[in-house]
Amino acid sequence: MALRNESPSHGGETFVTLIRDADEKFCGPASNFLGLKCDGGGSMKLRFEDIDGTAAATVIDISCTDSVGTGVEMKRVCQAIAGAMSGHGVQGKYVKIADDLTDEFIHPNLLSVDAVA
Amino acid sequence: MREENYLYFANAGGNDTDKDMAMFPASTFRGAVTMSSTTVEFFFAPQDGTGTTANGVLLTHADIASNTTSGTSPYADDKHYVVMEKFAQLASGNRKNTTNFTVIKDLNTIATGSTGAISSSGISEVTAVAITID
Repeated sequence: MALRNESPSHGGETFVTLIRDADEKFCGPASNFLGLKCDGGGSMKLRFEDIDGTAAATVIDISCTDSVGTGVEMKRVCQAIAGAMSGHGVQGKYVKIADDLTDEFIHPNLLSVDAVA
Repeated sequence: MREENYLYFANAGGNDTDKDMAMFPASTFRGAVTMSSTTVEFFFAPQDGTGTTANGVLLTHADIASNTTSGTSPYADDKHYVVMEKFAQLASGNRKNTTNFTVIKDLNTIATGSTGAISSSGISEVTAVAITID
C-alpha cells in the first residue's frame, strides 16, 4: 500500500479571524492567505481564497496608523499579521487579528476592520 | 501546515498610495524574469484569487553592462543574478526559529530605533520597486 505523506486538509492549521461588526466577520485558514497590499494612506487590503467556491478572493479592508510618513506603522502591522499566521509548531491555533466589536487588535498600529467582502 | 514565509516589498512612497507596498506568501512565488538590463520582475499568484494573471514586483538595479568581472564567479557581480540569488536566499531559507516576515525591499526611510525585521531595508542592490496587482 502506498504511503501517503500529505496532511489532512488544514490539519494542524492556524486559523485567523477578523471582525468588523455583528454582520461582517471572517475566519479562515492562514494557508488560504493570498497576500495583502497598501490601498492608500493607512489602508490595506488583505485577501484570502474565497470560501464560497467562486474565483474571486475574500477581501478584508483594514486601517492602520499613518503618522510617521515612512510607512513604518503599516510595516509593523504586516509583521504582526505574518507572525499571527505562522504556526510556530503550535497545532490548531486560532488567532484573532482584529476585532472591532471588542476593540482587540493584534498590534497597536492596527486600528480597525473596515469591510469584509 | 508548513511554516510560511511572508515577503514584504515597498517603494519609496511612504505607504500612502495604492500598491506602494505588498506582502506575498513565499509559496505563491511563480518565478522571476529579467525584463531589461536594469530590471528583474518577480511574479506571484494573483491576490484576486483567480489564479490567472500573475501579480508582479519589478525590481530595478544597476545596469548589468556596468558590472565588472571578478574572476571568481561565472556571473561576476551580474546584478540580475545577485538580486535573484538574494531573493531566493531570503524567500526559501530554513524558517525554523527565524522570523517569517522577510523584507525583500523597503525603499522608505527606516525609522530610528527600529530593530529586527522592521529595521531591514532588504536587498541592497535594488534601487526601485514597482508593484502590479490587478
